[in-house]
Amino acid sequence: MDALISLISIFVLMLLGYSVGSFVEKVHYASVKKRENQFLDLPAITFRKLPQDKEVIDAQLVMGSVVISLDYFKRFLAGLRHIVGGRIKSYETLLDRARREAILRMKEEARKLGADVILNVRFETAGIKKVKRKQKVGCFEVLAYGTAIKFAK
Amino acid sequence: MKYIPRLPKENVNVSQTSPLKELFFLLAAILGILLLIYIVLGILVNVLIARAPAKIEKVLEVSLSKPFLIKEQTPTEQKVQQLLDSLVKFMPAEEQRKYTVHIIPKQEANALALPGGHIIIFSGLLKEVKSENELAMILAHELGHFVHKDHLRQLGRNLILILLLSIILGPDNSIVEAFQPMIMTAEYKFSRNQETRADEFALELLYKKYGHVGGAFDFFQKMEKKRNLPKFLRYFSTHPFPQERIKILEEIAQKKGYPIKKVIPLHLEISKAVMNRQK
Repeated sequence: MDALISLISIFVLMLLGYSVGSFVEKVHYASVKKRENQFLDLPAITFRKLPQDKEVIDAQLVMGSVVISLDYFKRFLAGLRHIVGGRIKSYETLLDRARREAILRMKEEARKLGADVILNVRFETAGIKKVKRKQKVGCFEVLAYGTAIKFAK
Repeated sequence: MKYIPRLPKENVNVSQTSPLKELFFLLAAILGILLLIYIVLGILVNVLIARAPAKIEKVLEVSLSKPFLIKEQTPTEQKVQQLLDSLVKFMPAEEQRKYTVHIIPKQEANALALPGGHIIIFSGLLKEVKSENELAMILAHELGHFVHKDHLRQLGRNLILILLLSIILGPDNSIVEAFQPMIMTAEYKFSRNQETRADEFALELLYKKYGHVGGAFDFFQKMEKKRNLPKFLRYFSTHPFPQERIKILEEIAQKKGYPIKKVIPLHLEISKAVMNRQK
């Protein structure tokens, strides 16, 4: 009986993780794509040098940070991957969403400052793991930061 | 150079395969490997158990049957012990050794065979029992497990599998937890064959002692009446289903020409002492 109950609970958690997880992902991707288009006129680039022909009147550090958690389904898939090896594809969309969301948040901050461009953009990714007895809560933080530059008009 | 803001046309950082497909293939591969390990282990354990020295059972006895070793036998237990001893006399000479009865207060109608010749009977089972022959059948069934070394086999497989899994995956891997029920289910299935073999042994022993097999089916018939589980749950059951059991046993009794005669009613003392113990 115990075996049956735990089998059913695993199945329910997987189903929940998969259905809710993919729905949330779909909604988030739609929102990310929409906002990426809105912020298209504010470039975030990895150049470190300032343009020679323009006068800079303001420069400030801007950051965007996102913390994301795994769902049960993704974690289960990754757990299987830990046994046989290979790319953990189930985490790819998660990290992709987090990186793009982090850039969007950084751009949002820069826009508030009236910046024209964000230079020297960098990423940091960190795993935040809370291990409580056997229950593992796996999550990541993705931080995007750069220098928001405002040119004289 | 002019900067033209644009978004990448496609996302190279995300694989376009379906996660459900991935799950299916990974599960199939890993379950396949596990099944292979399980079959190999099963063969290995069978070979090893057949050659296991008595010392191994002694070690297992100390670690597993320990809670039952110190206790003095209650009058009930002594009564059941007498019946058990009289049964042991009819066992093959090489299997005759010390078997000890222990009764634990538990509602469930069940009995276990533990290393070191310890037979654990749940008091719930004694409540159901109405005749000596019926109880003898249950005891003989557990003796059958000892003769076939099922008590070691079961432990051997479980121990090796859990050991193996935790070595491969690490002790606190969520996959171990996920697979554990599946392994245990397979383990149950495996044990059903053992139960049938033990039943066969018990029937023969019962015939040797009483000259007939009356009362052998009584307990299973009671179980059948009690049980109304849905069909899909049958797979998860440790013992073969009572109805199947009775059918198999009746077939054997018919084939070997075992007669069915009147049963000996059980002495009241047992039932009384059980009640006292439960309080």
